[in-house]
Amino acid sequence: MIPGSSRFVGTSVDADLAESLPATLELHTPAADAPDLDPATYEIVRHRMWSMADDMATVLKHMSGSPVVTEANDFNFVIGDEVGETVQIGQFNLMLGVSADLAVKWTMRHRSHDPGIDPGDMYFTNDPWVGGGLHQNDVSVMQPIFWEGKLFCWTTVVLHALDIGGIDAGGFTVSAKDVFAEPPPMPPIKYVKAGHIQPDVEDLLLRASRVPGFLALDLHGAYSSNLTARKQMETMLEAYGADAVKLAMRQMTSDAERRLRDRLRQVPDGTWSATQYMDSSGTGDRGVYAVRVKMSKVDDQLKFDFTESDPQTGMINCTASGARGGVAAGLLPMMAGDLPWALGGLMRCAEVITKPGTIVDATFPGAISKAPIAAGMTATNAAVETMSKMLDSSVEQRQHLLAGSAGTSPITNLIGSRADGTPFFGGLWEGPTVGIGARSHADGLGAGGWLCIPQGRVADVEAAELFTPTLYLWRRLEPDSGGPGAFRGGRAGSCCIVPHKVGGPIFFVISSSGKAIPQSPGLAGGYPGSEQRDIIYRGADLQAAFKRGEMPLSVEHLGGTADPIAVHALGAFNHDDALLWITQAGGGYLDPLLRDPERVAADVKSGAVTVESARDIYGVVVGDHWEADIDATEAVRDSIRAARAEAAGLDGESRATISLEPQDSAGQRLDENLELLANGSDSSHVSCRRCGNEVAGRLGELYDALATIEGAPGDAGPQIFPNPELFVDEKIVFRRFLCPSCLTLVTSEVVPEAHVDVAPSLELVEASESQSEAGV
Amino acid sequence: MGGATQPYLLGVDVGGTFTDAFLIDESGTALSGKAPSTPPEFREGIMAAIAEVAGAAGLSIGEVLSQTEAICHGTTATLNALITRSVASVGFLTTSGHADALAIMIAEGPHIGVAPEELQDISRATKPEPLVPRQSIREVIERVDSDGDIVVALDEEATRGAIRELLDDGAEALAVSLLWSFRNPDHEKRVRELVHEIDPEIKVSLSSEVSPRLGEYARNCTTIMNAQLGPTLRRYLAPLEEDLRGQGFEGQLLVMQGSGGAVTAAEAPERAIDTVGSVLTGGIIGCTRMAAQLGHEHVLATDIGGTTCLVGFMRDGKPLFEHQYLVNRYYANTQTVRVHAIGSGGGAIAWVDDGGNLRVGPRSAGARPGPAAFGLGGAEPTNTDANVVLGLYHPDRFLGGRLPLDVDAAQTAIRTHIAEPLGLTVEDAALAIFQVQSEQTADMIRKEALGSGHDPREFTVYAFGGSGPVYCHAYGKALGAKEILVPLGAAASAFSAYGLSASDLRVVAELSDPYIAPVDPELIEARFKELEAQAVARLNRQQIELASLHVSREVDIRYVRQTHEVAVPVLENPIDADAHDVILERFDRLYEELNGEGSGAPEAGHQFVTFRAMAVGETAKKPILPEVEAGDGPDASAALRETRDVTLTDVGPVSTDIYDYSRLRAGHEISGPAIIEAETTTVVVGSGQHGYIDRLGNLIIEGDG
Repeated sequence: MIPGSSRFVGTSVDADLAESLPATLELHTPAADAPDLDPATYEIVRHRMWSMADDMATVLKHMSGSPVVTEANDFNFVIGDEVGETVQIGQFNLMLGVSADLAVKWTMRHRSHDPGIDPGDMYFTNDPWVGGGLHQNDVSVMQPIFWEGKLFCWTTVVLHALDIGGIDAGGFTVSAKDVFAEPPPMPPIKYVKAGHIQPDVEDLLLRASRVPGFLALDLHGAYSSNLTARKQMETMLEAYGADAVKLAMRQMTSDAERRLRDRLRQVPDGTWSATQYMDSSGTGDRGVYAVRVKMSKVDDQLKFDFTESDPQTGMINCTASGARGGVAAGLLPMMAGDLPWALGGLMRCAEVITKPGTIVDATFPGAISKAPIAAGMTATNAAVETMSKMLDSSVEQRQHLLAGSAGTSPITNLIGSRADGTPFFGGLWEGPTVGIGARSHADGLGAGGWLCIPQGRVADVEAAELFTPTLYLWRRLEPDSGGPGAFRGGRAGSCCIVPHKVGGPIFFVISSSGKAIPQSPGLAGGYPGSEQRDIIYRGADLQAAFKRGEMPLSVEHLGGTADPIAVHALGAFNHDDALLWITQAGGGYLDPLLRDPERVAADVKSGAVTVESARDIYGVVVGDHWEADIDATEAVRDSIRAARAEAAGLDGESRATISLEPQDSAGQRLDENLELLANGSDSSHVSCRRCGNEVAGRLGELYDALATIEGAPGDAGPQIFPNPELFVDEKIVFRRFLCPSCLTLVTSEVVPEAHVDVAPSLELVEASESQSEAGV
Repeated sequence: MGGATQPYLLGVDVGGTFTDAFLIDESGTALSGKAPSTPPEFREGIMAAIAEVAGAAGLSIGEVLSQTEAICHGTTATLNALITRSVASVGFLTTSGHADALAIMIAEGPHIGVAPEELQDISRATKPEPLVPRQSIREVIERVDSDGDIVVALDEEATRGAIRELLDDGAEALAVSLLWSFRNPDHEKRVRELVHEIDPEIKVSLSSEVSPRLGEYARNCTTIMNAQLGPTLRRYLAPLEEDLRGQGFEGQLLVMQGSGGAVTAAEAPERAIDTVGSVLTGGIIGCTRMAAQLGHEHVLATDIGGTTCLVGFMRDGKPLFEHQYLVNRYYANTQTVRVHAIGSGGGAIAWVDDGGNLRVGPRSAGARPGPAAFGLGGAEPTNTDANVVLGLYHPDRFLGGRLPLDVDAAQTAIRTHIAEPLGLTVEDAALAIFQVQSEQTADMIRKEALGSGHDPREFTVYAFGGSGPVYCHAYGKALGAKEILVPLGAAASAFSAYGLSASDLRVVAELSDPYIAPVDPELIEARFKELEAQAVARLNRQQIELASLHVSREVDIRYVRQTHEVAVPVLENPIDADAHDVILERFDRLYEELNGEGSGAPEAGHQFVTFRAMAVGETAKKPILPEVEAGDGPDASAALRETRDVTLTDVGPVSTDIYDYSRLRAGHEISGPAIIEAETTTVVVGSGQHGYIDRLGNLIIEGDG
């Protein structure tokens, strides 16, 4: 840690913030005698706040020339109150803007005396330690809005800029050991003074960029978008008065907070744990790194404790604001999907605790250029796993659970020259075709995008071929990629490209994690979704196949020699090679043997699942006309259970019969498979809800008591790469825990051998009336 | 063939509830008629509306039809067919390796076409039902590259097999969309030949003809929907035409397209997708005509009905167009007048959310059960109920007295669902609903304006639909509009049908041919020449007498790496090197106009993407709206019907002048607060606002500035 760098750590604590400000900077707070807010004014202001954040997006997207903004929606907007407390966040990249409040508070603390915060000013920062975005390419432009001489509120634009300097184009520095090899993080600087963009400041920023034109458009877009918000805010203040608008802003956060707390009170108190992995921390590295979270819920408060996560390393870290953004990106769409996104109020229900020096709270000068799609998204997935486990313990709230969804955005940059000699800088921007995990009541969403960007999109194949001189042999939803389960994970996109009309080799930079260990785990016995793959088939010689009138449509028909590319790698391929790319699908929910055979048959019919996987993983026999053969299915499922018993070392005698639908919980449900039942007045045991038999004497001993099967990763299905040893040193296993009586899977995971599963800790409470009613 | 001697032109607008007919004669004199719509066939309603308007002219339906040169007809048939999925069964053929493009939906599946409040909730997110089931898709082995070069030859034998399978499975029509077919349509054309070798009767939609545009996903969707709708539209038009001919009609039956221009019924099914957006366009064309007559350059058209609020823009006297339209969450590449549904109408339900906050919409009580005040079984409070409580509607005179209102039911609905939970009086609750609806409408209109690069303050707001005129004084004011116009004259009751009767014929020919500038000007010129020839040939096939034929050029350009394209008018003919640069400069300027000063990125380079030629044929007759009788002066007291207590602001009930529109004359002035009761709508003039009746009988509310 560099001496003095702690000054640049943003904090959400603002107890003494007001006192630290100069007397000339007056904050607007509603007068004590301000009249109560009427319902119409509240609803009008609430809608206008949402509308303003949306309008800011329109202005930015129109102004920006960058495809990261206009296509990937990698930006967001925040409207905060007079101390930056977030009142409204836009429906764009949820990780961005979650920590805008930190940046605003830091700016107030450190800039209000000198050079001062005045009407017409805007501050720039791209320092993730201070707040705002997650890595240096996330630039924030913060605007204070004054009304009648007082600082009324803040609006902030956070966007991912194409390039702001650093040794690698685009800012992701795969070889970085510390932040000094990356684009420099800049603490808040006054970018706009009294309405005028400061030319010296702007030149400083543009001079560092490889694409100053694009950066200028982004910055001007952020400036215009803030101005649009200011005009609308001023109109509203004129119409309704500052006190009423501020009261409405306060009510927005308190309303969202109260409703989330109501929801949390419906869930039992307890503690749930999750560990998610990243493979490799930079070029040449074969390590495995864990983000560990222990999430506890007491009454109506969540606490996400990440302190046990691995120490910071390589270029995959994030700052504390990354962990906070990661949690928010899961919390908002899962727990607050039907609530207003008044983030300040929602985040008051969720404390995020990290330890400086860890992978989710890197201290300066740790490398963080890959933060959002490395430790940030990994933190999201860890948080999602704990929240889903918690939600599954409540009959009322389990409808909101979500199995693991893609844990990264794969990066494949392609550089070379066209046949006519002109250079190109292209790539595979197929990332949004990742899958979303299964829900409690429905399959996941194929090519559903990332959880943190609810409105992404991928370019058409024709647009992609126009931009990068390649031919797509296919772009498809990969069969069998969705994590198997009673509800299946959403499928992932796959494509296979061949260099076409190039003037030489295509050079690549690949930075795509989740190749050795899946990053979209299953839930409650469901299997993980597909891993990322980048495999070059060298010498496939497709040009000859094309001439013969053939169009190879599967790996088997590609020919050539498979060359699986590491997580972080630089290299090249030629016009007689083909690059196969498969991305991460969603994880499944519950044991695949519990899937309705008709759903499996429909999956075979639509191509989502192959006949082989239907039989081997789901135990479903599908006939020639895509109908499920029920008798044959029962027989296959019995044989699969028998094989499980054998693999788990259980004797084959008197297996309990299982029910597809679990029994109503007589005690405290743990999830769809297990419940906690009272032994008497002072102790409890864990029972299987499928067969009614006891599986563990105490909840804390759950994973010791369950039957276990440990196998090779490839046993989990074709979505898992069978040779993780190509990428990491640690041994990777496919581990399943199951009820020793009925052999129903309760946990299925592809993890490092040393991975430890931690049982939740949960109090046995009397089954409430609502639970038994809702369970009917 | 209609002869030039026939005196009449008819516009017929088939809505969900009513069918309107609008008749104009040689002198431009206009009459309208209305009849209930008769789904699912709609024919009876159409004939009844025509009989109605004939009656108004003192003639029989036969007398009118036998003397009608053309009937222009706006239909919901194709849109409804898509929404209810009652479309022809279609087999889809695409390039091997790319059948999943339809399921991948360019990764927009969970959010495209979804309301903002829904896209937040991941546990409820869904992708739409596939356009065609996976079993109805076949891949054909072939490959063309971005230059149009053939990389892999079409495997004809395998293709024949695929076609047979689809036909055996019962496909009524086929859609073919191959990668890069707009660059080289040979393979698609060959596939059609192979189909016709097997079955010469089967209709085949080729993407290179329906939508020769870059981007396979939207092109696939467009081609498939076109194939699905062709048989549907044929089945709809044939019996209608038969009925009309049976009554002596010898003219041309025209079908309105989303582009605001019509084509003949014979031509329409080939490009049925072009008719999908037509439901919304009649009103916009009506606005265009009226604005031309009144000299309004920039018009913001707002149509608030029972369930939706529609917004369209007209700038410099012309409607804004867009070239892609979202229907049923899928893209249709077709030129449409830009009309967007942005929010809720009179039937939107007011409710209290689980946080105890007042909300309005988006759920709507629709026409059935409708607002509580309609007495049709609706119990939840709607916007209309709030307006009843506020005294905006007289219970016996709503919609000209056709629908008596149950005031008690409205009050009960608001009391139980809103006032009591929020601790408000019924009146205060109703006022809150009214204010929220007005302000949220303003928010959404502002958003639409911003999205198209416009400032609402430069516009005259036209407000129509059953509910628009009640709210326009409030949202027009919130937007800072120049002035607000409520059409109340001759066309008021059948505004869309009036627009239809005024429509031109319009065909569009386009082709994507992406090139990064600079491009050989001769190449551009050649492209436009081909497209112009195509468009003119199609227009000439319409066989209708035209007063004029005008061809215009347009090209979609974007900055390299962006996908945000701007359609740039091309005035230069022929294109030379100078013209090439002028076009790019025009793009830079237009881009900045739409997106803000300094937003252009010329250093990124320019890419020409889609070239387009539009042929517009003006019909010989145009309706001229008649002027209404002028009053003696500004004093409107002769039209004063009563004064009653009406609540429009927090001040509470105020004694308000209520006017009878039928007694208002041009030049009469009205000071707010006031209400004007007309046959089809109720207009509110806000407190402190000033209005007058213009020479066409419209009510104008003056803006602040």
